[in-house]
Amino acid sequence: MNGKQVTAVRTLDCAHKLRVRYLLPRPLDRELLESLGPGELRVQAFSLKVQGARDHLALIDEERNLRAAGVDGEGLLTVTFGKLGREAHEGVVADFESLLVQLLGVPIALRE
Amino acid sequence: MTITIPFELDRAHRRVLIGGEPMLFHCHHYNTFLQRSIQDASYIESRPYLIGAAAEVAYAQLVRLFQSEGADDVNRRNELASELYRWAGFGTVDLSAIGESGGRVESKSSHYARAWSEKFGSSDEPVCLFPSGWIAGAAAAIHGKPLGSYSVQHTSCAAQPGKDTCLFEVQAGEANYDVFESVGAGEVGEHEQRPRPENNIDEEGIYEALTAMEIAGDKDGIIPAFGVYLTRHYANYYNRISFETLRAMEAAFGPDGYDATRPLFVEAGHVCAFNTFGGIMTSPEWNALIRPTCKTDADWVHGMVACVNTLGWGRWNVEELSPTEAVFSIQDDYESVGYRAMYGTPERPISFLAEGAAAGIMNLVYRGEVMSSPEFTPEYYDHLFRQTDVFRAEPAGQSVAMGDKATTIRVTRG
Repeated sequence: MNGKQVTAVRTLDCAHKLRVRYLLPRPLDRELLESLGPGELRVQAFSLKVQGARDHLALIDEERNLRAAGVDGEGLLTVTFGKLGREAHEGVVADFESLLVQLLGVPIALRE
Repeated sequence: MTITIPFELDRAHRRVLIGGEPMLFHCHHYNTFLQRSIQDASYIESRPYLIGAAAEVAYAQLVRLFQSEGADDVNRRNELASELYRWAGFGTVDLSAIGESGGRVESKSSHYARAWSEKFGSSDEPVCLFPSGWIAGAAAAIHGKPLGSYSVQHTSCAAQPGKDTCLFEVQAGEANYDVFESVGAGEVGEHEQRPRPENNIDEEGIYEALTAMEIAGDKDGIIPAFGVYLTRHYANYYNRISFETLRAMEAAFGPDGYDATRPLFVEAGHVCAFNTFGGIMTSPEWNALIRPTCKTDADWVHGMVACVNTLGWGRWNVEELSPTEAVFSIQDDYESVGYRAMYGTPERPISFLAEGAAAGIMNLVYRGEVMSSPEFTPEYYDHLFRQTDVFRAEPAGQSVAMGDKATTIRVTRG
């Protein structure tokens, strides 16, 4: 993790919707993900089912067609903007990243 | 009112039954690729069974569900059927417009239309053949009539240029599609322990963890999961459309028909593996549940097989594994179970999807370095499946369809 920035790697999902992998300056946790709402926070407590597994966190925002997910305690947040047949709302990416910057207190650097 | 779709998790056979119909996960890539592959064989009249197979499964399932859930009136049946459609990831559909004499059904969100547009671009013709048949079968079940009591015309499709809604005209009268009687759950065998190389994967734990996840359609009836868009679809639909095609090809061309058809369906398995398995192995869910316990490349294969066992495809196992070769065994693979129930014993193995999927796993892990989270581009697909040293699958001497206890598939490189 780079404590001074969020590194964003932009790709497309298999439906050609924008998918961004954000390498965070600190581990992802429930509080951070929930703060990136609105949306529904879903927690899969895999650590209780498989020894050595980690918990999976997801924020599902159906209104904005946004899904953010990552591993509890790790530094990667994967966000898909839009879904099959539906584009993300205009401005959603900018709003999301603006909030992320505000919460983490560091800028986002786009990695090509 | 919240409607819960009742389902039966058959752990021993690694499958799910809903209203007596085995249902399983496949992605939008496979759904559209399979349909187009079948339709591309234009010398075969496939439309009647592409639609009829959907009517078959919808009717059989809904009749049983209506009975088990005490849905005696049309309104309740409409709600349950519409909710099932959304929950399964097919999109949204309002069945209340269908009366006893028929009606016009609108679907403002269709998995097939969206997937087709995304994958192939717009279509001159409507593409929602599965939804067409499903609606016709549902209409008969809802109104207490025999299967085949309604015809269906798919008059407009969101996959067509300038359209955003799918329209279906349902009319009481003779079916304009093939009418099949569903074989339901078919017959499965007694699970037996199969050999497996030592590995670090907790297959049972992964099965319990993933089957406990709610994987259901959102408000648009779309299921974004593991980096792809899934449907909880019907084993008997896939089997019917695949094997009617196979039988038509055999009828037309004799044994050459089998040899011409097998590569098409194996290729569909490659497409499925590339997208669905690739998506799974690069997903946050995998990073949380499975990746932390993977210590070797072989663990990635075993981990992916553990995931396959949650898809409803039957009970998969890896019996032999090296960087250049593998033997997979599958008890009650859904293709075999369906074929035997529908058509009896085939002369040759028919687990084509399984072959393609098995080759896909090996190509992703041992040639594709999926651990590095690659981009799933057409170029990457060609690299995995169209070079000279790729992994290829072939039947390894046993087939559930032909009476054995497991279907075995050997995957070798080069």
